[in-house]
Amino acid sequence: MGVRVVPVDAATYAEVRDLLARHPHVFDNIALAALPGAYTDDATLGGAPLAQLANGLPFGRVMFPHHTTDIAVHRVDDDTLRVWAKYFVLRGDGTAGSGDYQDTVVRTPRGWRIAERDASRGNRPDDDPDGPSTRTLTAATWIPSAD
Amino acid sequence: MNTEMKRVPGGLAAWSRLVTIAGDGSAASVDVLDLLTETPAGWRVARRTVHPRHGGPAVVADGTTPWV
Repeated sequence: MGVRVVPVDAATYAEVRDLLARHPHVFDNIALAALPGAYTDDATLGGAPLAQLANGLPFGRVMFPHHTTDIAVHRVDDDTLRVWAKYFVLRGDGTAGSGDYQDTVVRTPRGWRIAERDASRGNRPDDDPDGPSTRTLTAATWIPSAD
Repeated sequence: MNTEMKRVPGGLAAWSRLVTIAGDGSAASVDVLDLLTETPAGWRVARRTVHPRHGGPAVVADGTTPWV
């Protein structure tokens, strides 16, 4: 038994793609003043409050760039989406690392925003500079089955 | 990829990531900032600046200042 994806219209998909493009630009530049353009005020990352995590970012360090691809969108209801995307990071030595994002995206008065984001590192060696694989996101975590 | 766009005086600004894959399989990434203007022939790039993200300062925005 697989999941049933409820698609969104092309305009909504374009808005989600634009929304997910903001995360790399915000985080890689630690442009915290731009967070409201991508996240809800009470957003969580990996279950932790975004506002708390933002304070721990390494200011002054040039972050390795993240890239978001392969965006799949499932409509939960008119105001809620579940989004599954891939990401990869390119490091200064030319090596790359992959991973997954799963987001709950909600409609707000200022547009679609990420309310929850979970991330897991994909197929990586045990000595990966960012840590070994932590593949925890699946189709079942993207679209939990209705009881 | 990861193109974010916004309206600016004179047209549109676009902030994108450009990925290069070298012959040895290594990869690199740069930020590309474009100013796009609409002409009778369609949208055209009026100005492009490229900011390599490795080997030097790469911050092109602080979240409050314009990035193009």
